[in-house]
Amino acid sequence: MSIDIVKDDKSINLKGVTAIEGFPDVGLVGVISSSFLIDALKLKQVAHVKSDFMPPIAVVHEGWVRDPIRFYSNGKFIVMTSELAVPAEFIYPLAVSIVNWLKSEGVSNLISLNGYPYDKRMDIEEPSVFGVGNSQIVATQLKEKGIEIIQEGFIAGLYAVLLNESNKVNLPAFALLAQSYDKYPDPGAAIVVLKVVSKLFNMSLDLKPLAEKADEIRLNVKDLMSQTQTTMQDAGKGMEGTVPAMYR
Amino acid sequence: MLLGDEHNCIEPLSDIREDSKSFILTIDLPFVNNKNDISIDLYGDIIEVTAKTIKNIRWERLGGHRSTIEYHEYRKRIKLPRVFTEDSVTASFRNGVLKIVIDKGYKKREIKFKEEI
Repeated sequence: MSIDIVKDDKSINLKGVTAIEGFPDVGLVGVISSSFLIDALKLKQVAHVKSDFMPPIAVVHEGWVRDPIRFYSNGKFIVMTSELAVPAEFIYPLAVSIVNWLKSEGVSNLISLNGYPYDKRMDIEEPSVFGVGNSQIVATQLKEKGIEIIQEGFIAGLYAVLLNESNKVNLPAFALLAQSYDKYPDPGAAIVVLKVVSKLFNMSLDLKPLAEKADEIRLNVKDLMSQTQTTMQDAGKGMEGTVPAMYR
Repeated sequence: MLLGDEHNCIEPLSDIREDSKSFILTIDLPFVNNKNDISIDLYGDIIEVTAKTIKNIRWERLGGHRSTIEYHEYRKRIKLPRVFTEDSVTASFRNGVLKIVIDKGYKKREIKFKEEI
């Protein structure tokens, strides 16, 4: 079994660039956010993942086939996303490969955009966003930026492994997690996450189009959400939100 | 009464979970305007939800020959663990998500200790 991250644009220099991950997970917050950023920042495809871990599926867009896991960049950001739910057994090796590749390319930091399951999501208009750092230093920096930190709890899925693995190679990383429906696509949660991203990087993103297209997005990604529900179960997502039983 | 037919209906995402008092069923209904466009029917141990969308939803079907299908209604049937009556069921609709709570009807009964000898 092998995983290769193949550069489509050999000339792109990723030194000092911020990497943003938005893979299918809770509420598809990452997928919705990363798709929005790819369009809004007019990013170009610069790399894709080749692996025999993945099901033999290619995606057809405008008449030609593409790999489902693709990376986009403009020289300031590299945004990574997937149009297929990542099988649970592929999560760990994929995360390790991504972190090692980003490190070897000289990327300066890694941010995961994601949802955090909240059972009362239906009753709130504006979800809260929480942060998790991959080190005490990053957690402190998040607090200084006014981002509330998840103090205790389990996290699961690709972003959890990315946080752990990036710490091992001294790549600063954090996740921004919006309260979200766990099993339904949640553009509202993506909007609040993107507001934080916009503020952190002085981007002045216009998020109105995302709010206006919310219903269309929910419907368009319905099948991806179904696939993701299955892989989330296998990836231990049921643990998320529970508190570890550890005495210190 | 017969269950509705599934012609021109799309199956929505749904979830059912339970706590000690109830079963909680949620259904994601994008493009549904308000509760007046939603019907909830009980057929013994089956609950059926239909909901009209505010616009037709176009879906492209790929296959031997390509065709476009239009949907204007969601339909979802869920088999419940047992028969419930309508008195046990309450529903709410907010931000495009329907929530149906089915009360299990358990009554609290205090158990007394035997008198000590």
